[in-house]
Amino acid sequence: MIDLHWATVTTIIFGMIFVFLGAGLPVAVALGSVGIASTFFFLQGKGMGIIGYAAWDMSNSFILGAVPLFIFMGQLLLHSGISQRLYEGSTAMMGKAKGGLLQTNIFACAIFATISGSSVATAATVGYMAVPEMEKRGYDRRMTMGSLAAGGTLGILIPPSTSMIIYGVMVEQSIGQLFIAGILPGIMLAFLFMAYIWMAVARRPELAPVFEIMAWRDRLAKIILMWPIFLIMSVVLVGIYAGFVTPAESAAVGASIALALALAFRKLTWDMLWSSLLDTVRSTSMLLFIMIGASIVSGTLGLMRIPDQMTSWVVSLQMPPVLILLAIYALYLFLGCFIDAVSMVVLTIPVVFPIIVKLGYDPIWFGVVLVILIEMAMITPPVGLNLFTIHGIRPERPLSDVIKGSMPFLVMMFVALAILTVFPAIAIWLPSTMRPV
Amino acid sequence: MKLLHRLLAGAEWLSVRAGYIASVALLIMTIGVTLDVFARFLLGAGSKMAIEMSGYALVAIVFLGLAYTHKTNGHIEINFLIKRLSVRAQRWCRVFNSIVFLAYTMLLGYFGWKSFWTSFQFNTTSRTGLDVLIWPYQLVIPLGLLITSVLLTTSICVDIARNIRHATDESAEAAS
Repeated sequence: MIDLHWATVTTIIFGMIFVFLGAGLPVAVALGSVGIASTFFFLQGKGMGIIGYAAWDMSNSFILGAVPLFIFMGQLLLHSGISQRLYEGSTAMMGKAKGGLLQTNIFACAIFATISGSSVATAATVGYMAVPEMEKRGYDRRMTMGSLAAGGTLGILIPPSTSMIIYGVMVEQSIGQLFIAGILPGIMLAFLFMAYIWMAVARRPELAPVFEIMAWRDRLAKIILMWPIFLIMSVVLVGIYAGFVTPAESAAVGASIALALALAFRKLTWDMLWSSLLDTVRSTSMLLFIMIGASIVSGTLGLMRIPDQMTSWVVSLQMPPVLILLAIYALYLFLGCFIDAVSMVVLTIPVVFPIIVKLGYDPIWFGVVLVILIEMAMITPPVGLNLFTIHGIRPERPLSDVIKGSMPFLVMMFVALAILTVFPAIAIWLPSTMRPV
Repeated sequence: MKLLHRLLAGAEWLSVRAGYIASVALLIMTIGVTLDVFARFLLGAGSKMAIEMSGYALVAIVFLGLAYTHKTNGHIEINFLIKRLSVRAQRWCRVFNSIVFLAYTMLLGYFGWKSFWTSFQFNTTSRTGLDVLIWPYQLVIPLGLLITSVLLTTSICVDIARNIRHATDESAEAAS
């Protein structure tokens, strides 16, 4: 092994990764190739065995099987016309709430989040239904776009969540507990978003025009039409919480129900099925290929004992743990501006997680905090995926509208982060009451 | 150039077909795990087989879907920096990235093949107690990476040929 200080090696490895990412290489390739190069140069090829194992072990995993199954479930529901029912039902449920359809956006995103593990899918699904309707009714454009971009981020906090599966697999924590841990913080964040809308509209009523409310009977009819969503939500969440099924099993049952619903609603065609399957294969292959690359890098770092040495160094600083935690928050907020969420997690977790554990923080709680930090990254320019997704609905208007509209919601996320840091029980209480599978 | 385009079309055809096989694996995985859950609740008899097979299905989804993912630009790239480069520089950057991608894919394929070959020689079985031979599933890894390598190689050739033609056209334009 080349005798270099661990800090130098870390700087070189991460520097190379950033150069490769900046050059536009696919994230998976940037991580994997730097991992292989590091094994070759710093370990003189001694750890090459991890490469073959990384490909097999990472892909031959029942736990990670939850990723394609949840994506497939979401795809089927999306093509079954259920999203239309969701938006209409959410509008009916929100009724006369101050902010009207702006509140509906947040509520619909929170509900859609229970059947989707992706922020982008949540933002896009609700966005494509909401934007034309809200433009027609004269809602403030920035506020509309901001509520959708921010509301979409609930997709990865409220279970199921692809980000939580990735985190859970990387740090070997229970995916079921992580999912359940995200419920209360997800509800809290949705309430914070809604509270902001309420306050903003109370101060400037022109942001949200008042519209006629449906009669109770019509509202009830629309709400009842949301039953497929509640059915799947119950199967997934209650099944995991009660310990009846594992996350991967709940995802498979959820996907099968979605398939049956699509058939019952006469939306299941060969084209729809192939398109859902191929889209799922594409997303899964992309995500797991990134995880294979990440496991090569983290394997190399582990062989050089870099996470251990970095943890010892951080502990030797004798700084209050909360200060180190705040520094970690700052790191994620900074990285979130430049790299996408998945890359951010897989790149940093091998180094950050041992520090978090050594400082005595709960790994499940940190998983929830990490997801909120990822959510923030999704609405921070220049690489905020949700900003682009919502902008894509009306590309003729400036992106700055979406960015400016999202900023107050970003502040609400800071508030949620602060609350969760002060009161970690919000995240860890519910999983502590779970029955093991 | 015509031949290169034909080769690329062939590689793309292969990638899509591999994507379809990965899709079938996904469907089998969904139905298999669901049936296992119902068997456990209704008959009180779950099997380890569904769990084991879903792991192998995931291998097929990831590696047979890889070329299709590349073909449909499904890989995440951070390109706000290279977008600031000239169009010409961007084109060559793309070629360079594809070459690095190809090298990585081939290395991963080589190590995947080595794992397969070891399991094949020693008739290695799974560690779940079901004693399933794992080499047929391990073979999927080098196979998927081979299809991806073929796609990458042909697309690199097409890109280089296109870039050279663009450069020639540009210099001819400048001369006139």
